[in-house]
Amino acid sequence: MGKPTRQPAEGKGKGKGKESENEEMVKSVYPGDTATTKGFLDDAVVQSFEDAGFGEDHFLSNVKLSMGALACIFALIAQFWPNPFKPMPFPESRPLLLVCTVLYALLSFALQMIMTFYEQDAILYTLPPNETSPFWNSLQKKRVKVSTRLPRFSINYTVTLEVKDGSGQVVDTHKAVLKLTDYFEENGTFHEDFFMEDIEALISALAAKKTQ
Amino acid sequence: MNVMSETFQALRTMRKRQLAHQVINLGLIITSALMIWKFLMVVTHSESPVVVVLSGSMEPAFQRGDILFLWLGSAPFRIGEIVVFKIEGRDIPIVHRVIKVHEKHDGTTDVLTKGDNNDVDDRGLYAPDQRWLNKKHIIGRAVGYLPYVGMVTIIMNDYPYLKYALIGLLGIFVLTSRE
Repeated sequence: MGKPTRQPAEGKGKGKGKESENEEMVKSVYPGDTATTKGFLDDAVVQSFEDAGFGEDHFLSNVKLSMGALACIFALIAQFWPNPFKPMPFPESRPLLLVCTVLYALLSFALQMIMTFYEQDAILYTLPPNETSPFWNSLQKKRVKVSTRLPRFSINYTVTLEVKDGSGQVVDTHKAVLKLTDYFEENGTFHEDFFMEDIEALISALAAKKTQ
Repeated sequence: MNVMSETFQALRTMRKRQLAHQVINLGLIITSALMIWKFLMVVTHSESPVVVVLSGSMEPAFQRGDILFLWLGSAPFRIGEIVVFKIEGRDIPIVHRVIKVHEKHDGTTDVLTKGDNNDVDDRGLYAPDQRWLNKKHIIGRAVGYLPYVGMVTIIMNDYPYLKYALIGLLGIFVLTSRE
């Protein structure tokens, strides 16, 4: 195993400032801490797409946040209506409690269904690339859904890219398995720049497939 | 306090949107516990569907620290039933047995209670002019129980800082763990 051997890229759009920043904020994980590792990798993937000119589509995130917030509001109403210091006493408040509990349960359940069946392993939904992106022509008007998987104690990080066109149809899928040992040292230090280079290469490969 | 500095580190590196998701997650966990409680209230018609036995006045049937499940049906109260009631002006629910019942023509009942382990009936506990309990004082009848589990609640009430420490730890754990 040992240290990942590669020459760090020269100022690849990141500039001198960012490099010194990276030196101060070296990310490191306890080897075997799969959750944090996946967190670092996912963040780096999102950053790579952002650097490549793909904005993040916040629609699903907003939907989930609003549903969660609304459910919490119903719970607060059930607890504190009509006045936080003088809530309605029990026998009279039963209808209100019934309504609030049912609405809360429906929202909670819907939220869980969205997360389990619609979102699944997704970590990023992108917007179409903007004009400054090198992929402006090849992936014009296409959005990418990025899903990742990292099983416990495995060194294989699977990235799945699904390209959807304007109407939401999946027009292309690209899967890649990256080995953790290429980016993490034995002591847990994360070489984010190497990883982000590889992710950019993946996006380029995806774009190249489209123009074939 | 390494845990605290690690926590702040983790929170600072999170993007704002992620932090919002974690906060809502924490809110949902707390409110789900609350809503389960409210749901039990709705189903059992009782303002406190689960109570902890706080004193030894019902020994040997119930010990201090047992948990009782309550159900408030519409049937009239009968001698021998164990009821949980609250006296006006006092917050603490009391768990005792019904020993006398006066049933009126309209079906409402006046009830007198006594703890199994006490020497006298509860008239001394009732409000100053009160000699009987009515339905409006009674939270529910005991329909089931779990021994000892309620000791956690008693301990947390006697040592409040334990409650805050536990909630604080839970909060930190939820805010920093990723989905």
